[in-house]
Amino acid sequence: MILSLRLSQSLLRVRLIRAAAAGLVLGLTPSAARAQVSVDALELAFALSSPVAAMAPQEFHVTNDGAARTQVTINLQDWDRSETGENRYAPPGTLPQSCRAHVKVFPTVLQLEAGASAAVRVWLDDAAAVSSGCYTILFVETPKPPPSSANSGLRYSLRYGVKVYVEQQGQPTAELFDATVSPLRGSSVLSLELGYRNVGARQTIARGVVEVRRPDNTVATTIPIAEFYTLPGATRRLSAALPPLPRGTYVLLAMIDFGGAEIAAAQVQAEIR
Amino acid sequence: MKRSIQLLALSAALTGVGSVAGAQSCSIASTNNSVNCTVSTTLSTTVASLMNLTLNGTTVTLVAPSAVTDFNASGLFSSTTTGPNFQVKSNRSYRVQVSTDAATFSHTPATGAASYAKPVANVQISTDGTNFSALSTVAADIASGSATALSTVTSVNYKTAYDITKDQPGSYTLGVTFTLIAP
Repeated sequence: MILSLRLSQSLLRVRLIRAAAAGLVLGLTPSAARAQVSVDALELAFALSSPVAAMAPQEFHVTNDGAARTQVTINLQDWDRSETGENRYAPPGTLPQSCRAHVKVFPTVLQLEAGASAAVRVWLDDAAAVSSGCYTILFVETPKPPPSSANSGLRYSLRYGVKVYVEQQGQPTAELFDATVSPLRGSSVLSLELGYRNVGARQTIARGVVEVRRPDNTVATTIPIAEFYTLPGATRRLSAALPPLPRGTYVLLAMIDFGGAEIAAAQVQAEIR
Repeated sequence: MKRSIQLLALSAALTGVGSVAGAQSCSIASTNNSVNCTVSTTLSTTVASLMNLTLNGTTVTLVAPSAVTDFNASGLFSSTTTGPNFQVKSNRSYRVQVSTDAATFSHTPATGAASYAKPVANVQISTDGTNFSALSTVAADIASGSATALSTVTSVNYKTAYDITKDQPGSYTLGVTFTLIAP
């Protein structure tokens, strides 16, 4: 009896797995064209003045570029960046610099005919309450196709992240607080590892260069550091792999231009053997 | 050793860029046709961050094992499935991220089968067909670039892991979100 039961289960499994394979064929047929939307701004900036004054609302527009009517929803979340620059999201109100309580959005649901556009209004309800600045992201999202029990697999949706910056005006300030030379993980290639910190009240948009200097102070080579973004109070880890160099002693001079009155710089000596 | 460098040259340049022309006028009180009267004007415009992400599909069915012989001696099976393509139009640098709606698939068990919370990490994603990384509820970058009239087509591929001792019969669905953001 027990043996019979097990056999039945085994047969059932084989049969259902084959059914899933049949579903595969359906899934690989071209899917119907879907509504595509676009937005005309992925960043909104509210510049806080001193004394704090009421600020005019801002707008962005959502356009249905597809051939069918579609619904668009707008959801607010917190966000920041990791030390390696990846954008991270969190439920609204959970991060220290959240704008959740003070950024208002209307409407939050749009019904757009093909080719139609609609404005989304964003405003601060109490600028004085966010005098030190805050951040949020508005996800403009299209719906996923309805689930079907006949299909196994993945259902896609698109979304755009509209970042809202509420920041004080003034010069950005930043510093390099760490500079070390070490081999890249799993490699013999040396890399200059930098620690960068935004110590100001505004986001910094920075880029830089590492000059590899010989003992006679001539430049052997330069390594560009691509543009990167850092929120106030945040740190960013940067890595610049060194190209092959003749044996000898070098000075690595890193210079980061973050748009402030100064350039953040650090230097470290490297021995190539 | 660390130091800061004063950026005097750049500060001066920025001051120049930030200046705004005041009201200007000129008048001529002469019968000489060679006298010129020139008034300069300043044109200004604001260009927003314009970005568009186009995805060419809505769903994909992951390749599943079709017979018990597909599984290896350890009861495991791995398949690769072609996913959607996407392209970006953008007037500034951008990132494309992927994330899942939940940590596990939604499972509709077949009659008599138990339900199973298949982890989304059983599915890995790749945009080059070689380097795969596990799907997650945490948005992860899968593409980035600078301003482009139309990026090259990026093809998404999935690698799905099955375990005969865990994956119960039935249909599994999962919501996947592609996000376009400024850096």
